[in-house]
Amino acid sequence: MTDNNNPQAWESLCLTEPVLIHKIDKKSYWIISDDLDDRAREAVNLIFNNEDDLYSFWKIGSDQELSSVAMSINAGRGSLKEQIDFIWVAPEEIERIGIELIPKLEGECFQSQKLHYDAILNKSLALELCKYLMSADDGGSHQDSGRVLRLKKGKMKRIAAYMESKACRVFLLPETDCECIKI
Amino acid sequence: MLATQGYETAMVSYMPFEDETSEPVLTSITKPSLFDSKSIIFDIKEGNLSRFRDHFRSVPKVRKMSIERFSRYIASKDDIATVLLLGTASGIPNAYHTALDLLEKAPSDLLLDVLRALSLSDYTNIPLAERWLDLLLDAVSRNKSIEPFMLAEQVIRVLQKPSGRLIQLAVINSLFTISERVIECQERTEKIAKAILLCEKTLQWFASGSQKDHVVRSTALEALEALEEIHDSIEN
Repeated sequence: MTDNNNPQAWESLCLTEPVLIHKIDKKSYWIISDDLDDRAREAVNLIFNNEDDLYSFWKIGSDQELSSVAMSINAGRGSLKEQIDFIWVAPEEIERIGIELIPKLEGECFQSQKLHYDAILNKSLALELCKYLMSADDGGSHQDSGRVLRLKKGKMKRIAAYMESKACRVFLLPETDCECIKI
Repeated sequence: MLATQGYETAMVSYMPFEDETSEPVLTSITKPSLFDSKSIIFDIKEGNLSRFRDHFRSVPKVRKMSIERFSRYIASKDDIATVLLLGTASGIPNAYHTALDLLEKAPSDLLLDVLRALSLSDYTNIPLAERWLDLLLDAVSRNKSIEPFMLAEQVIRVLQKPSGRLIQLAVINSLFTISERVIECQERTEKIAKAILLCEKTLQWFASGSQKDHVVRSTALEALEALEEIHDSIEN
């Protein structure tokens, strides 16, 4: 596989170590209030509101991994190039908060499937996670949004082109083999 | 379990599906509803909800292929309200973006009617109404059949009523989306130029020192910088 069209999406996020990401509907849900308690409570209401407390996390640490996960996240969208907002958390932070990650194959792209984890987050654990991440941003002193990142449309266009050049399964008809599965 | 009698059909929460065969259960259908009795009230019928629910619960590849078909089912303001309800409901994975993909292709006159109604009504359930408005602002800005200048004006009119951070950020996002879409147009008509100017002037106002909310200011500034990048990439 050639990397001529490498979208350099991972590098642009300025993250040095592998992280876990959780896709959110929109960035504004993470920065809705200045008060830490209100902000965390609203984030739980808007982001962590599944009745079964089950949430998807993806572990990424490279351009290829981020690209394949991005394609899986957008697989059900009208366009694969839609921008994606997500929050990130380090694996050791997940462990410190006491969140259990259960590996579970999920996603259209075969490569991304093995990067996927289910996490059970009841409302109190979700609140703890949000407060921790919001405080870790900036000590809670101001309304930074360092733990929420965005893959903009321009970046997503490059990711989609890169993954299409690799014949990612997301672009193929069902039952068609992609390059990942041939390796 | 869905009450659809008369006009008491404002939805507050949505339970997840217990198993593959279970019907959705809407809970907390209580008065006061989303809007007061003098304002517009949507009538969300069980059959309609069930039809759109099938799309929301489908697997990603099927959902992607069904967007066109289900967006054609949107033929009334009540249909739009049904999609807004599902798109902001708890417990449905990817509900927001599933609704967004449908609404972006909905008839523009219906979208604008509901936008006006939500912008002007004295709703009693403010958090829920703001969630609907937030999603709808996102959707209208992506609808390619609405003339951009008129659309930008409609979006800005949302600010006639005092609005919280969520709605102000939604307006900024909406103006950015309109600008991004029209900047990339090959044909630069006078109307398109006017639309870009209106969007950018409003974003500059949001980014200015007169705006007290620092998150709103910084978000508007980010939007302006992103538009600048798009301008540059087109010129180069």
